[in-house]
Amino acid sequence: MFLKGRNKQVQEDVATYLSIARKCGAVFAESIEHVLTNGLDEHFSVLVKQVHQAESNADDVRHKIAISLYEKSLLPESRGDLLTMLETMDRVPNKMEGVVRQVEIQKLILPNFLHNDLRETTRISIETFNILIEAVEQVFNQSRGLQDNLLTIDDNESLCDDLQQKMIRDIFEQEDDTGNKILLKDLVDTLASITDLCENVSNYVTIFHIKHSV
Amino acid sequence: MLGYIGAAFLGWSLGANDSANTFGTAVGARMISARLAVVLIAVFVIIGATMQGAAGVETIHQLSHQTSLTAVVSSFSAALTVTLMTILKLPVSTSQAVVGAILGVGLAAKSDVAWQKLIKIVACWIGTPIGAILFSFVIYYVLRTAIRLWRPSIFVYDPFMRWALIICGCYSAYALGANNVANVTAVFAGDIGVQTATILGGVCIAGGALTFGHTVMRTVGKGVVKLDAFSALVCVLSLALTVHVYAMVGVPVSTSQGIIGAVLGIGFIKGLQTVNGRMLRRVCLGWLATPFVAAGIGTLIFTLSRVELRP
Repeated sequence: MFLKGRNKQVQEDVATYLSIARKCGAVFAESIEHVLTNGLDEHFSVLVKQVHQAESNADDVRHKIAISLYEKSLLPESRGDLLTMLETMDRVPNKMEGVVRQVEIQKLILPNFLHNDLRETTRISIETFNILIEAVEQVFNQSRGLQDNLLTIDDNESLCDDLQQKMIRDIFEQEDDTGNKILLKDLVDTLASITDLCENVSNYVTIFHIKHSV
Repeated sequence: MLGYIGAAFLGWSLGANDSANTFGTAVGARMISARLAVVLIAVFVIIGATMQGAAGVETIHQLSHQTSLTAVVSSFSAALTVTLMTILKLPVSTSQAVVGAILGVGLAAKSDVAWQKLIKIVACWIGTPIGAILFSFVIYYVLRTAIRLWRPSIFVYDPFMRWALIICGCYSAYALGANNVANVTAVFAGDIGVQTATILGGVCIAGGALTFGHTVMRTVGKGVVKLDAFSALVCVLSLALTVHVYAMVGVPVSTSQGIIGAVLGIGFIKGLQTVNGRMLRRVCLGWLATPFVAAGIGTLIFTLSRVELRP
């Protein structure tokens, strides 16, 4: 009964973690849309703080899960896999915070020619992250549809790569200050790395699925 | 007294070594502490020996007519064989050592040997790994189908596997006591009675498990832990069922050969590349050599015990 209670706690913590991660993605999408529509203003700073808060909450819950797992919840062979998966996944909210922080701290003016592609990249990144969260839930609950989600993550990562290349080309075709171009390129690279990270986590999900399939 | 010490040593070494076959996978995978495992083994070995050990004791007791001298020499020779094979690092079956020693001493003493019983015993020895392979095949596919239909979440599956391994480990320890107690005290059943023989034998095996079981289990567990929890469960359950069946038939068999058969069964399902050929050859060598070595030692000691030294 004791073991069941401890595992139930881990299960609830994982559900909480995924819920916070989902919320972080939603606030991140809102903040990018806001800065593209309204530019840098006070509300954007509030949204940046909300992204930071969600990321920090996610960190706390992940830390709590790690402690529960070290206290011998689940089978040893599951513990390491679960921790690796969550630790890699936790880098996605970090990256989201990194993007909005870059815009806020460097006071980046996002040129109009990039708006559509930045919107599309953000949309795909958030969609990919939400699919990843669903895939993680599926692998834990042994529910169906995992393979389709993993394939979608792979496809979305390729789409984001194409958009990233297009945006970088567009940036360097402009007659702008080189320093500004590099800052914009860095922003595009950081934004596009969200789907790269999602794909990395999806690889761990695949390994977890194979190892725990009977 | 020497014979009883030999029997106690045999029971102790059996408990110390064969404990690893019952709970080694669960301990190796850190699902249960080694100390708790040996306590569970000790309890269930004694229960198994007392409840269902009599059939095996009667089979071994009836294999050859035993006098006090032949009983002592047989028991001591079996203990010596187990020690010798262990020093040579060859996998050894206590059951084969005991039967080999009884046979060797019986032939040297020109006693009547119950050949029909011997044929039955040898058939069971051949049947042990084969039975474990078959059990692991059937259990693997039945359990796999059940779990695929059930589709539990990892938070349900993991505790289920942990408890299943502990319960099957207890069952395996019960089967070990029921089956192997005959190896320890069957030769003395004529003197002390079958029921007393099962209780004393069970206590000796439990003593071995309690004193040295955890050390051997940690060593063996590290080798066995490469199996995932599901395969480990299949192996332990296959071993328990195989050994329990032979306990009911009344023939002591080797739990080491049982667990190796079960692991081989998993190897056949998952691909032969997982089977360690070198280890398999060593097991076969030990399997073939043990009864002959024990018979030789038994004959030698019995012959020496009859030599009269004249000044």
